[in-house]
Amino acid sequence: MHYLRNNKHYLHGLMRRMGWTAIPLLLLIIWQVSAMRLGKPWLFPTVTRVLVQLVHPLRDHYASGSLLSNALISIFRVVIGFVTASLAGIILGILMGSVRWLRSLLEPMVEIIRPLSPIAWLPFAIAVFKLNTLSHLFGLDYSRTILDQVQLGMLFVIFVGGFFPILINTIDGVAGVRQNYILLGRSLGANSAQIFIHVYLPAALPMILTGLRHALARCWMVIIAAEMMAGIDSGIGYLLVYAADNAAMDLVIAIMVIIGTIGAGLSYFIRWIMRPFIRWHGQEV
Amino acid sequence: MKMKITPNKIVGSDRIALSFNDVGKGYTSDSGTQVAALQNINLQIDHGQFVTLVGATGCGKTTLLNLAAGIDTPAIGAISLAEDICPKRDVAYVFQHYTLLPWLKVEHNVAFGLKMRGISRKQRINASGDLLEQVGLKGYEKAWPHELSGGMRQRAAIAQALAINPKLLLMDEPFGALDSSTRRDLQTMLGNLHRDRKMTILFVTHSIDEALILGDRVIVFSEQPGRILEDHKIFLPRPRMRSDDAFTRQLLHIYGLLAETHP
Repeated sequence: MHYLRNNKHYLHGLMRRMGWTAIPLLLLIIWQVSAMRLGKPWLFPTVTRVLVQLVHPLRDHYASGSLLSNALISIFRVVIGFVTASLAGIILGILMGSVRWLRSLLEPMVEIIRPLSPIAWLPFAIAVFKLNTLSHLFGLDYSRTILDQVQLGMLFVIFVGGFFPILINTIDGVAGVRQNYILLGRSLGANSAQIFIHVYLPAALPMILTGLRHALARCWMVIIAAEMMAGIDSGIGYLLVYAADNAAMDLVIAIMVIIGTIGAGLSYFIRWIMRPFIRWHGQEV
Repeated sequence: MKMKITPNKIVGSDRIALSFNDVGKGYTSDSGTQVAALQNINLQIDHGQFVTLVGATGCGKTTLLNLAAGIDTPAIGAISLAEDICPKRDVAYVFQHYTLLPWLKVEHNVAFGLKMRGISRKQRINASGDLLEQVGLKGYEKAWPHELSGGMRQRAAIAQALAINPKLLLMDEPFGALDSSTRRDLQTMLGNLHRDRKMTILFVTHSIDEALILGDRVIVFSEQPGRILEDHKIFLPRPRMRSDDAFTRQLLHIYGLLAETHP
């Protein structure tokens, strides 16, 4: 028995190592060989051509900036939209989760608006906000900073994309807080505001974090799609479409790799930031 | 002695800390039937008295504690606290389960009540350290609640309640989930804390033995509706000895009482 179990562990370890090394390597080799044999780089470029793009992140493309500058613009848009969505979603979520009548009042509206794809809001948002940017918000036409690249309409769709997952998770997290902790807080002299900050918020934090991660992933998807819309002339999503229009498939694939990597990085980053705050989760006694 | 009945405010005697006057309370069960949890409760508790409440599960003992804590309000009758006991500041509650906030380390759990009062961080951490030492948890300041054993958690919970220096301490089966030797250790500790601090304690338990070991008075409850069967004063010297004949006699007497109502 013991021998068998050890063998199983060994096998599992081997498979995991192969999953990270041999399998990706094999796929890359198949890709490289078949692309070379096909010989149509505008349709199916080789791995090496994609790598060349990736190791030149500062090269300017079509006078629209580089991979790096466009990626940074996209990240900046997402961060601003995501932070505002988080603040609004968490505050409203705690209120709706803890005040029953407020939840009853607002929940139907939330449930009606929530299923609508954030991207579906974009034509409306662009019509309303035109192509006004954050700079206009501060009373300037051009500030010659990255703020010029943050269109309000785009922020609006990112906000919509992030707000609902955060709101729903916060409501569920807060509504699921053990009544006992509220009683304990009250018996130790906490007033309503203190219960809010020192009991509801930390108790719901693991659920809120789930919402934040989900929301950030959604925001990142939304921004790529939003940047593909007409009228937008910057961002990694814009560059993706532009490269495709120019049949620069090596650039297209390089951008896909970048988008995927940034998405994974954002998810990892938020988990890393929040980890110390939810170390207790699943350990309630 | 005639007492003024003012809900949750004043008691007209400086001897009495807490008084229940003709208190009744019912609730609607999940199946929709009306259940009388408490009926005709008349109870006066003196300052510094250790009162234990025994009775079958579901006889309304917890409801009584909740009424005393102000978490719940009586359907009829009134509950009065002595003038010098502020319901928001001077009443602490220790539960059986979920007694500590899982997201705070032990020292911050104990300091929680002081934090709510705006005591500075340094002061409350010092106070928390002293209290943890008193309950035998020195060295566990930085531990997480889930790293403690059941008995240690209840020690920490008692320290947490004591931190706000309560005049009235409500305890709802705090040792109910502990093994018997841990339970005895904690009973001894609580007895000593009560002796040193002179606070009023209302202690719910379903162990008659525990009620007799700890209490100055044992209130025996009948079930459904919860009524006081007997208000049993204990005059045995402390520390109480289980081997004592008088102890055993009283134990059997209360057993008999409960057996009659719960055949």
